[in-house]
Amino acid sequence: MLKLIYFLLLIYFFMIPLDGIVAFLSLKTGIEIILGWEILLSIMLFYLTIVLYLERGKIVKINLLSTKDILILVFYLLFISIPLGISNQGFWQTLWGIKLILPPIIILYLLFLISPSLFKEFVEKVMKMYFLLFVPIFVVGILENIYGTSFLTDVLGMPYGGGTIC
Amino acid sequence: MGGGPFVKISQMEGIYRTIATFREPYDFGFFSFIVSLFALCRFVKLKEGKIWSFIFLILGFSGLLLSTSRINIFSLAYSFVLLFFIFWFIENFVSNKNKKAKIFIIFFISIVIISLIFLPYIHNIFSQSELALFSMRSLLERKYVWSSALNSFPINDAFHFLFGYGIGAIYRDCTIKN
Repeated sequence: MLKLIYFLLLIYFFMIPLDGIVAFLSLKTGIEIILGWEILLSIMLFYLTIVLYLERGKIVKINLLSTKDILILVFYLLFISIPLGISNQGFWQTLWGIKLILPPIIILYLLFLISPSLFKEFVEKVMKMYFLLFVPIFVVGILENIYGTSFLTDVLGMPYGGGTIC
Repeated sequence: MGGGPFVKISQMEGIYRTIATFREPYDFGFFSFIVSLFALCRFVKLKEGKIWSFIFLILGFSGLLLSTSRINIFSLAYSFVLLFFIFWFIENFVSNKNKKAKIFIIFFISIVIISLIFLPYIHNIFSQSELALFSMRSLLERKYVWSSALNSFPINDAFHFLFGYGIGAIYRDCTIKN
């Protein structure tokens, strides 16, 4: 079971750099699947700098391995956030939000709680995977600059929609 | 989302804003930032593979510049300073006593400095060029997006201000905007 979680999470992280392509292949839904990836990567970076490199499990009285923290999160979600979501956005909208954003975050946290050493291995694997993925993505970026045109829309002919604020 | 096919070219003062395999220059910039930071951590802390870490640090930084995402460039500069203090200054010049508290103080001071940079009158110093962190065009676009968000989720409602709008709220806002 743990290996399956591990495998699914690796696939999830693998998909992130291919955001634009995934969004095209599954049209609208692909974009929403990626929602929350900045949160996930931030959790990993937090872990990387605080726990892995500073070799500390605690910082400013917050214990990352405490079950109390996850209980507070579960309580907030079950009794405040989900009922509020249903009353404000409706049942299906809330279900959509839960389905897309929460599972990877909770699974990541559980993997960390169940096996910190496996989580450490997972972070190392994601780092190496990102280094390898970055090379072709960077080449695409260079080609875009040479031709002055978007690789996704103009070369591959993918439709695009959305804002450009960065 | 949902629009017809059209050519997506975004420029800033004639510089092409690279998106690579992402949807936005910001996303590509964020990924380059992550790769740079991973490489920086490995370069500083791990004894083996320092050359590869350095190569990926340079590649990541180049990607960051190609994306022209100012906030990610700013974030990497901030991370450099922070990691320099934590890894070198603290380890070498600060005694073990209360080390954790001192790391927290550095985090706190750095956040205060960052907040000061975002004060409105300091914007004017930086906002002369479109390339600047607080360019007028960037601020106006953000004002439009934030106004839409505040219209959808008003903050003068004390109950929702404290407890939020619940799961699914952000998605609904995106749908309305698009």
